Amino acid sequence: MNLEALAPRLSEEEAEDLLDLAADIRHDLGKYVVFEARFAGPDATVEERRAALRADLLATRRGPRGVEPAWAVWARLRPAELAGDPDVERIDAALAALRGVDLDGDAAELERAAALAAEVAEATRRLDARARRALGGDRG
Amino acid sequence: MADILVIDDQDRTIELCRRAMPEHAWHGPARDWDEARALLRALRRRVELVLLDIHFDIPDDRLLGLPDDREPTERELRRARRRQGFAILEALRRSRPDLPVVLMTSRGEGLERAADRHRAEEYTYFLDDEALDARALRAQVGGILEARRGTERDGPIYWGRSLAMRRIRRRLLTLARGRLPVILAGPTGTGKSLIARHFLHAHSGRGGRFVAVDLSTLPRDLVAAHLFGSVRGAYTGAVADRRGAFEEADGGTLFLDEIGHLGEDLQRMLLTVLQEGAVVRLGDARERRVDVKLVVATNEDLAEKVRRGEFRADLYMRLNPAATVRLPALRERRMDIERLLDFCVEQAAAQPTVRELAREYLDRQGLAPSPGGVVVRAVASGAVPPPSGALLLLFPERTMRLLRGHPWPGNLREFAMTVENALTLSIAEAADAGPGPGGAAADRPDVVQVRPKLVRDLLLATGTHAEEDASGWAVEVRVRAHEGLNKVAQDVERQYFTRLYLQERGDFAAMAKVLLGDAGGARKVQLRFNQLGLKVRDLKERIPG
Repeated sequence: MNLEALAPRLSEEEAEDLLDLAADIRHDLGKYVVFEARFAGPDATVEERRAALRADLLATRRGPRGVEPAWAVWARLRPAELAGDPDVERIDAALAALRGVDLDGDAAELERAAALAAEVAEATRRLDARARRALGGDRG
Repeated sequence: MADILVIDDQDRTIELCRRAMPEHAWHGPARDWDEARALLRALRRRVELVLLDIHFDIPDDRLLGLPDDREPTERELRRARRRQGFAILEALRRSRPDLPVVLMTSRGEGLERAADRHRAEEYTYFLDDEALDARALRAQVGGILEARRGTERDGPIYWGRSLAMRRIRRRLLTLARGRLPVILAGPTGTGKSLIARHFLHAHSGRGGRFVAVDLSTLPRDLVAAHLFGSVRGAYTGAVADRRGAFEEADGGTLFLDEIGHLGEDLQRMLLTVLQEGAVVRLGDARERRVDVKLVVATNEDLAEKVRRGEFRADLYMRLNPAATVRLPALRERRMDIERLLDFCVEQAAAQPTVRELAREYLDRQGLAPSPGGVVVRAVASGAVPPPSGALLLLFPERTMRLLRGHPWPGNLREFAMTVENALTLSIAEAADAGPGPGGAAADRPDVVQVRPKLVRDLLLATGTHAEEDASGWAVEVRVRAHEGLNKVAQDVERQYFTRLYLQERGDFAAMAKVLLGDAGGARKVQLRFNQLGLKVRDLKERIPG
């Protein structure tokens, strides 16, 4: 269901939970799925871009819990109640496409992967912003 | 180079930081407040900057900011994770209110209100990590460090972080720009001449030269000619006209070191110059206008000399005594020892001979120096960063205890020389030992240990290791929050026992005589000695001679 359509049906508590979840998606997935690619900058060589994409997609979260690829992070956080929401669907689609990308491929293939990762990041930001608009904004 | 601590539940930020700024020592990541606190403690006061994440995906029992009186709800746990960075910041501020902290957060994460509470804090910065790239990160880190160091060091001067020294720096900055003379007071070796040359003159805005005259080393009968100049025939040997220090410093700064050594007749001549703004060379009648910023230094109490009639009161008043700046002895600045050590190592490592020695050591170990050349850095136990091409001088805790506990009667000068000697000798010993570990760990040939014995020998060689000044022995008191008075008292007692043990050359009966007035109490004293955790075998080798 679309986020804006779901919002009025949620209790205050449920709304707060969804807000937190949207922020977590933005942070855990949106931030780290383009972390090294952005850091590498536009002057990076093909091999530097390849290494950055590998890190961003295959080891999106790396810490004491172990290594999580982007799709595992999404599987952990994906809000089931928002199936059908345009941004959730965009993330679904972009991550599905990313799983099929050959990270050993040529520059054009890497560019496709980078564009899909950027799409994921952008959709998480949009989802978070929409959630704050629809569910009560900043509750600091 | 700076020591920077990263507090983050993920490894990715620190990995990027290490790649983007290899010139800094990156510590961590500390995964939670307990780890951060332990690292800060291990690094003592070396850490200059903290990068702090906001979201921490960590187990419940490691979260800060949860209710103490009941089990937290799932929601509370989730929110504590999302805002953990703010809770860590609040904990950090209780012990380190002035440590710069960069919070890595993004605008629009729904944390604006929590962030706004911290935005106004002087040492808290925000980094929008959704726009993070190497250049932005480097610019922010560089800017913060530069601003901080601007008040911590000036070229060869190390001011440190204490409020007292910052106040002195601010005051000197004001005095440098004014036209009135400046008196620098303080014990020998506290950096008076460095400050006169590299700070007061540098900030005076005066285009003329800096001229220094040490009045304690000039032959008495040459002082007048040296200061005021002379004309041919003014005295035996004056074969040509000569400009004095006042004329040489015209438009600039004249620094008179050890002003208390100035004789009565010269005091009168100096007073006349200050009153008239002009000098008359010896043997001449012509006045020459001079515009000089006068800075004088002394390790004596000039006011007391005036009372005793040894220094002219009118000259003293002309020297602007109300604005006297007293530089503290090093033992009054013990909180600065760690950072001062880094500073002195950095200064010493800039010497070509030290760099050459370090290169020789690295060559013998088959190690390539850092891309920018040979880098030598001090590190503390428990905080050795991963290999980066730098040669790391490890100062173990026992070595640091010696440095912190020494009374440093020669102050900064003695400290800097001890550090340079320790650094040079440690690298030389390691280089002579040939390939293999430099003394720290078998798998880290880039780490050379500065052994406590070496430092102890250096301190013993100066003959100042256990001097008692007029006011008694100096002891170090470090008080941490939540520590009981008993612990503080024991720390002091331990230091007193150590000093007494060394003074009485390990004779417990003699110690009992001092402590109890009865040599028969040796057994009691030894018992207390043991209770305090002191070990005869540790102290025996420190007994002088």
